[in-house]
Amino acid sequence: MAQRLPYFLTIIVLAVGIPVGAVLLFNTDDIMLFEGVEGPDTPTTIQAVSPTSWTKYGGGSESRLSILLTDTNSAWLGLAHGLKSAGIPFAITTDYEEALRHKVILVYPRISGSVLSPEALRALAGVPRNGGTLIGSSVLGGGLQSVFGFEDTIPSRQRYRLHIERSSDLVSPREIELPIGDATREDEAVGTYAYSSPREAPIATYEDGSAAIIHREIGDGYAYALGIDLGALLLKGYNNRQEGFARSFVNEFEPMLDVLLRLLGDIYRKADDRAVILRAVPNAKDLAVVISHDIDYTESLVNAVKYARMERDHGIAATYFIQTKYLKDWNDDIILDENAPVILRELKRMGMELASHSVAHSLSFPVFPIGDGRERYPNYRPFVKEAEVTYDGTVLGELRVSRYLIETLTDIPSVASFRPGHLLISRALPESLAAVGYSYSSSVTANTSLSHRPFQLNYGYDVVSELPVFEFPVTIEDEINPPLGDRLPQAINLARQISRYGGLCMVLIHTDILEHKLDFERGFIEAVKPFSWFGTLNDYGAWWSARNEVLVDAKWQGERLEVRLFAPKPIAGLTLEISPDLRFDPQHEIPLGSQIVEGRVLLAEIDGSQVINFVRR
Amino acid sequence: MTSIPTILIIEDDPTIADLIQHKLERDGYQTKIATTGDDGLKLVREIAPSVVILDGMLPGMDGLEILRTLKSEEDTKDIAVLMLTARDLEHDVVSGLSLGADDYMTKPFMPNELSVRVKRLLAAKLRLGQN
Repeated sequence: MAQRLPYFLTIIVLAVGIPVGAVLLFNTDDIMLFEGVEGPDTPTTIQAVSPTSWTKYGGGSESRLSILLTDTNSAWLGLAHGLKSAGIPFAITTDYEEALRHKVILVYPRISGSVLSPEALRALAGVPRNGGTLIGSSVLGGGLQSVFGFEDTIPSRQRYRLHIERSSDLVSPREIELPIGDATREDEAVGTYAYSSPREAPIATYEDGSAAIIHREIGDGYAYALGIDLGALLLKGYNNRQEGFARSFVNEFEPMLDVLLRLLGDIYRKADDRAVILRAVPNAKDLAVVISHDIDYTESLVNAVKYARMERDHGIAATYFIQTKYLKDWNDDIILDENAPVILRELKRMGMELASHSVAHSLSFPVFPIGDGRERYPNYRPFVKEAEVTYDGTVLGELRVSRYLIETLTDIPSVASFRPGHLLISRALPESLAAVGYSYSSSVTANTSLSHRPFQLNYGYDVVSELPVFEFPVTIEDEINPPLGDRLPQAINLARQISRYGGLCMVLIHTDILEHKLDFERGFIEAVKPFSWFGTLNDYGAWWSARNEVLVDAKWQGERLEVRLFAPKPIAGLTLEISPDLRFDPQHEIPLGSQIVEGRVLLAEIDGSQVINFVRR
Repeated sequence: MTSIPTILIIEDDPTIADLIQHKLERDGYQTKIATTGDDGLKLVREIAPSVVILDGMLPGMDGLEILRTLKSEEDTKDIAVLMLTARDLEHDVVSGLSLGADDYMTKPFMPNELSVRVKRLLAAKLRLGQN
């Protein structure tokens, strides 16, 4: 039995200790009290920041891309998360001799005489001559100019665009012109280096025509010099600190980081015939689609069932982010009213994911205090007084209480996903999510993340400590004009563009109305379904986090390429990209349910170690 | 008593054919494999399968040609056909569906998804038979 109490009376009721749920009837509807529901009981403690060591990403065989780390205080964590997101196997080391075992070496973040010994520089200079591939990030000195084929390095913080000169795969202007800074915010720009007098035509140039990425073929080997700090750029996107140089907020194609990672992946694949890439989409599909709904208006919950029915009829499941609003405030009436649990359970019964969309849905969420981790329903009372004024809200209160209510009212053992109101983040959100127990966040947009792939979050959206929480940014939303129903062709086109990278299309539709939004969703599902995998955020998040832990190593054993995979968590539908001229070795057992088509290897399920053998066609 | 449905797999890639056979037999169906279009057509006429899983790219007589033949003959036109196509060949999908294919999947595919699709085709066939 649930009761609605006026706000002031509730305080009195609680103060005098009358049990919640006592039979009290009032005419006003300022707060919703559910009988016997009080919690959560366990306090939340945010752990102190603990720097992630680069050694976590060490080890592995020589088939991986070696990252020779020349400055452990650099943005290497961004690079590591970018490579994980792109599915490129890598191993970080600070030992140049260890790096030399690998066919492809990326020296990061810089090559200079001050960070590498003369012996190391000499040895690295010999890599391309010996048939290997050397990629230098910020080649500042060390006498390797002749190896990379340039005369001088010219630093600047006033370069804001990259132009990719050489790639047949790039077709959209947004893939060819990449923003790397905002001219109006010079102080926040990432430092760049240009390479003068490159021996061969550059792969990429800056807007002033100077060379940003150069390469040189030396015998059977290659040398590449990058003038940008890829790790720092990745962190700009992943930490939502792009400082205004994203070309759009949402609903558009912004593949800036994806293009750069693809370029790196192409270099790796070209250089090492053992290269195996983990695709970002389950079941060998081209695109992962997560349909999500924000329930933050009183009518939205009722409408949600109609959306869910349509989704079920199309054989898909969606994620419903529920604002667990039990207080009447400036924003709206109570959403989590006495009818809400029935509707939530119906959504759950239809296979939909229930996730948290905060309690207050406040525009002030970014400046909420973190809280003490003891916030409980019904005592936690975030009250939106007006647009940008909210009383008594805390970050932990929003996360704890909303999660607790959904779990308690629907018997869901664990709510895994969160999205803040208005896609407004607190800088303490990642560590707060981890502390409360969320695993998946969908809190920012793909356009401001500069990537259409998920990525791992860092403590404080900063540079030193990773967390077991992944971000799945929003691709398409429904509140910016023109109305969603008028944007179907653009949305399908965007989905097709992202599918070329094997990325995520996270669709956000508020269920406040049916009509054109429901029609849009139906049309979108039908159009992209042939090439897309569909699932909830929880489905994709579980798959993504399992993929994130997969280790890949490969070795030629005579004419046979032996690929060893290790998946600490079971994962179904993992897809590998290998050289298209490889096929399963018929002399060895083929993993049950596996197929290979045009260089795409679909593995039905892996749990633990798996060896797959290939031979050339 | 209901007879066990027979599924004919016309697929020239032995790995994929074995995979489909293994999955469908675990689901309780009888299966037959043909590795060429000509053999496939012969088998369809011999065993009258409930469902044909048809690779679009076969040596000799290709999948679309087989489909056209099946759908033009009185004895075989009602047999459900699930086409398997390479992911880049969208025109094959369109052609296949317009020629009467009942469903299609792109390769590679998850065996469980294939299993669900086959079940749906059989259920639709059953409903059709009851009407």
